Amino acid sequence: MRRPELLAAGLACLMLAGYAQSRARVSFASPFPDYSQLVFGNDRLQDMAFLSTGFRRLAADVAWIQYLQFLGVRDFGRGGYATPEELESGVQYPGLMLRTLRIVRLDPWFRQAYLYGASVFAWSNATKDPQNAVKLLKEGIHYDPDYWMYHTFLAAIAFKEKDNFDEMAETLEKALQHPDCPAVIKSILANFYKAEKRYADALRIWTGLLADDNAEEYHERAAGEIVRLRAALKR
Amino acid sequence: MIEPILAIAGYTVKEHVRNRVFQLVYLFMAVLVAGALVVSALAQDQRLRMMMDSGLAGMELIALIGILFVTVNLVRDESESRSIYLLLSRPLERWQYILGRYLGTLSAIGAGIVLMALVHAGSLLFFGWRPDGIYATALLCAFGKIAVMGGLALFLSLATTSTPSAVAFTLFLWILGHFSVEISFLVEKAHNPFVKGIGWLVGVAAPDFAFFNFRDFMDAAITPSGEWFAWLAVYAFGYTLATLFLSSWIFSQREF
Amino acid sequence: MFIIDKIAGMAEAVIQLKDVTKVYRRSHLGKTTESIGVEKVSIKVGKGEVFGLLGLNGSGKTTTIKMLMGLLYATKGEATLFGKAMPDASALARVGYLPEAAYLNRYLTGRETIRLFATLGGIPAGIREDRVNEMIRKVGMDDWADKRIEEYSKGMVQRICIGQALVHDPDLLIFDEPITGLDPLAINEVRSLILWLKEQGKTVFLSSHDISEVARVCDNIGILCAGKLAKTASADDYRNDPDKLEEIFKETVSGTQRVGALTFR
Repeated sequence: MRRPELLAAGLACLMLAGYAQSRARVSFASPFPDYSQLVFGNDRLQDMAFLSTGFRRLAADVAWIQYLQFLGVRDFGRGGYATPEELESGVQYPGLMLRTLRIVRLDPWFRQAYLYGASVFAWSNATKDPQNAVKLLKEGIHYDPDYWMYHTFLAAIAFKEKDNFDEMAETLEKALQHPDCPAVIKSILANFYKAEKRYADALRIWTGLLADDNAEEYHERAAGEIVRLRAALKR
Repeated sequence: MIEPILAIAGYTVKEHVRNRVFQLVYLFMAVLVAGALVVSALAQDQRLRMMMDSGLAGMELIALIGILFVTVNLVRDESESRSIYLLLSRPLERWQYILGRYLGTLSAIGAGIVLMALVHAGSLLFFGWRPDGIYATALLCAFGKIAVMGGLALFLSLATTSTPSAVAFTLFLWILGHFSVEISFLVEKAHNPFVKGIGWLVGVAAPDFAFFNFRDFMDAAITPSGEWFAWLAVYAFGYTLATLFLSSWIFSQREF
Repeated sequence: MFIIDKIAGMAEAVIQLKDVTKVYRRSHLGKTTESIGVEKVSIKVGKGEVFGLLGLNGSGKTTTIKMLMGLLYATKGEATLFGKAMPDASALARVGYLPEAAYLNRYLTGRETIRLFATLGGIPAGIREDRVNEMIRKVGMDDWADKRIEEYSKGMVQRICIGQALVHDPDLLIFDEPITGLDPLAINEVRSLILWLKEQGKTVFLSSHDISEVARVCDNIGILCAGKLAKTASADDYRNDPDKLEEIFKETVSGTQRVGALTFR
């Protein structure tokens, strides 16, 4: 054997790497939900492909796009998230909770996914299930305890459940000031104001949405609502 | 001692730049621009996040593919073209040749990453991104992963008899490297000493790539401490050095 | 065992092969086959000598040279250059090597190639560029030095290869089949180069199967037959009679071919 010292040095370095690996693990444990907590529908192959190549956040991003397609145009994709009970009951968006959990278990700091999901469960008539909204927000708080918007949403949901709509609106108004606030919650609050005949408040929100480059999907609707609300205000 | 290594590294960089590495970089730039447009249309409210994630992942993937396919043929090509004869007929230790070739390849790929990152950061800035230290840290960690992968691919290219087998083994270990925590868990829970032994061996021999995915912490509420980064650096350096020593040892047994 | 040691004691042994044997082992599907490259070859070449290693294809010439260059490891015996067992970096620093075919990196230019070998040859950075430019001029490649090797003709590549072998002013030149495949003008140039090197007091070790060329330039020769050193001779034996060396060669190698003759008639 030639140059046995190179072999010895290689093995010594491997041991050093092993030691550094164990020390790194002691100094910082992975904060991500482990694989047993992940939610897999029929997209499991896609999710596993991303995970096994080290692209966890990207997996959540792709799941988010699929989620938006599901909510927007009821594109069920590969499915596999709905329970038999949901399918039998004929709900409009079967498996919505598991689809939301799929995203936030892949990336537990995907704030938009928690907020959007919670908004849909708390205020949308098609998917109304405040229990799920609370569950989602609590999970968000577990990973991101200092993020105030989760707490604000929880408070707003609590007011709504107690039919204290003025308090709810006031709480949501605080959330609206923040750039992270999902457009869906803005549209929900605007609709609430319209139903309450608070046209000026509704107009303010729709005008803001129309000017928001990140909410292009609401622009067409905002333009229509603005025309109607202006007409209502003139009356 | 250093000059021959730098000379080998220097011509390796030239070879890669004139050969194929940067074609991948140009491809990435085109994909990035096209990808930004598609992503913008799909998830407008999360445009920056999508561009950030797909860009960082794309850069890492392209760099990994680049270093894998370049490195597995790094010594083999020179052996087959016999240009290695002249190099080794000079006062050049074989470990110097291995180190020079590795460093040259890593530098070429590193330059490619810098170029890609400039285009990526530019497109992010265009859409309103505010630069932060996390981006640079994520890139540095990705570079660490690429350095480890390069060493591993070089070692496997010398330890195996064909390019396809070297590629297959490296890809296998790349995937295995993302399940290092799970492998450790398996070793802890296993009762069978054989399974425990195999698991331990795989855990030590396979790289731990879960360490390097700092981009997953982009919006995280908790991030690793300075101590963790220090151990990560020791790990990356130790593991890469191990692959280079072992590659040099195998290469020293080689005849031409 | 044949030993050329006429000059032993008179001058420093630049090259010494002591009972060198090379056995090639190849494993396939668990089965190992062995073949002998060279067997118990002993050669000693002194300073300032031009030594020619003759032999048929497959006789072991390239194997011998590769062992001298440290590209192959002797199975038995010892190959030394300047008294150092090969492979040895300090000995290689004094050697210029011209392989059988010019194996150069096609992505580099001629200038970059010579600069690379100048650096590897240990030429200090301060004088390196001057030496590189001088060598490019000497091999007649001024107009082509900044083009890539892949654009060169065979003759141009050979010139750059000669440049890399000489750029660090080595004491020993090892040429493996230096004139094979060259046109008559190029052969003439290589011959002149070897004679010039001899005048400069350099030691030259070359392998060839071109007997007439070897007879013109070599002080001593060895003939390899099927891996064994079958015959040695000095210039006194053939210099005055151009056909003599061919006679010696034919006599020595007769019946030792490893393959049968072509029988198209």
